[in-house]
Amino acid sequence: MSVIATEAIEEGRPEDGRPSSAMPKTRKRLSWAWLGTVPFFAFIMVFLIWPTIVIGMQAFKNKDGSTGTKNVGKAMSGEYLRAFKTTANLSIITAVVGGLIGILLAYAISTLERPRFLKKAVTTFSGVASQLGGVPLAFAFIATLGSQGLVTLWLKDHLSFDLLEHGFSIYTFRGLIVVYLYFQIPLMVIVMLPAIEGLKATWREAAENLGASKLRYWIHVGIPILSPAALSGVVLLFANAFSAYATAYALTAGQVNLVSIQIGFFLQGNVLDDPALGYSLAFWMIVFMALSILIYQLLQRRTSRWLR
Amino acid sequence: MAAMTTRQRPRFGLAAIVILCGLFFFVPLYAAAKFGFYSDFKHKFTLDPLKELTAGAKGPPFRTSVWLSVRLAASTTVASLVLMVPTMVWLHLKVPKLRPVAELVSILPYVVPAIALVAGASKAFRTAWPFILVNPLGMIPLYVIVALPFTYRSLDAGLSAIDLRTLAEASRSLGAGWLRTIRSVVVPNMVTSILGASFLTMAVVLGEYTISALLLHTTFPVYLVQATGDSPRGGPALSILSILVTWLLLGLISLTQRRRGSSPIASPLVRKG
Repeated sequence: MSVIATEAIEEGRPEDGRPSSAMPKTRKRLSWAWLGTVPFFAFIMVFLIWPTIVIGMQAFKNKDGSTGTKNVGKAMSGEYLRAFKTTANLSIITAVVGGLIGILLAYAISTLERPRFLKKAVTTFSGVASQLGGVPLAFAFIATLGSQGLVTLWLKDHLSFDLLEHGFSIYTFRGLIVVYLYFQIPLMVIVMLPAIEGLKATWREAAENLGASKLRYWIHVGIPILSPAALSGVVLLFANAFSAYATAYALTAGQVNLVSIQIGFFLQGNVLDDPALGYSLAFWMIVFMALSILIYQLLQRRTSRWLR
Repeated sequence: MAAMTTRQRPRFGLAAIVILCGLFFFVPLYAAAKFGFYSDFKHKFTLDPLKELTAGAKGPPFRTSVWLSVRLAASTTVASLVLMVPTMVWLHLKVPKLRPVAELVSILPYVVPAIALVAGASKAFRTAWPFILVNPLGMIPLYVIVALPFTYRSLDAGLSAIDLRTLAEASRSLGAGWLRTIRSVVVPNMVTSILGASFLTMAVVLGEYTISALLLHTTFPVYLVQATGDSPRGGPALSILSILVTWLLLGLISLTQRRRGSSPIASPLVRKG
């Protein structure tokens, strides 16, 4: 809140800092103006910032109630460290694979001219599918790749290929990768499409006129311009997978050791450990999310430089 | 395939990518529909798994959960708009200097994801305001937070597209008060973005699982998970219906917002080019 107040007061001052006759009037009006945003910021304080502060306070509380870093340390060791590693693996794999496929798909739909409806169809679908996580998606994939799933049975009957024998089950880590790609790829398409469409035809023509081959154009122009967008997209996908809970829980019933699922166990009271440890896990998750979103924002700033 | 005709060189590679992705996105939906609505024994369309699931052997009945989700979606949408529309108009008109702050705040729900938010909220409100946790409709403020990135983004885009200052000045100089200006000039000019924000909020709330499951409120997605244990074919059947409802809501947005080339429901984190 102090940020707002300071800004409003600063605004009331003339820019050169000298007192002027108009000043009292200006200050009065502006100090009323920022009051209009108080309901919004107050709401955010109560329902977003306050719960976050509580997580921070609880995370740095020891079992006996004293302040300390014991739980924060414990949340990064043993089974919980493994949970962070599994979550990071899942997030990195789905971000990189989903990112690459997403880039290719975005490039394909912006290059292919027919069918005409293709681009519109894919972008609209991507907008929807990137939000379509959660329970229904998990069940759709159980119907597809579960033990009685359509594709599982089809592979068995027609190609005599048994997914389970080959080490794939939809209810495991590998299964989660496949399901997560369903919302990761569309999200990447949304992130990349503006950047790919921003590659100007004149740049390619200029490179060609100067005698550059297709490969050289991509190495010296295309990829350098697209890479901040691509990187930022991958970071966004990472964050997206890192915090997911519903899809993973509905699919694996908590069998895969993910951070979000561990936090859920603590909230359900299914853990014999110190209940306050759940807050330390949530604390670390927020730290990782904050870092990812920060990196994402910085990269996006670089991206938008070329997109004017 | 069709691309072959347009350029000198066939673009099999690109076409193959599109087709493979198309299959990956389509097959699960088809599988869920077939799994849930097609009887292997009778070889025909059936509603039995759906009936079995909605009959709900254990726990609260199906209808209660749907009704709860619908009430939550409607009231969260109203609450979001009541909070956000005046705030956004005010930010654009009166205190543009605070807009970067508000934009930063609008992406905070990504930093504090639902699973962390529910952990913090359950501790923060347990003693002071237990009704937030005990009463199912107490989740509304938390849902407003979860939907905030979408609401903010949609309304911000709508307000940036109109010349708000000129409109407001014209209306004021013709003698309208602030309330009348907002009601009869500003809001009619941002109907599209208000509708967009509403549909997105509804879609988010109808599909929300994490918060309601952990606060032990049986919303529709929570019911879906519970009941599928008893009826393995009912889960996919109901899932495909719920996916269709989500699509309908989000599809309505692209109907109201016809901007070519750009995705109608871009992620709130994605900057426009």
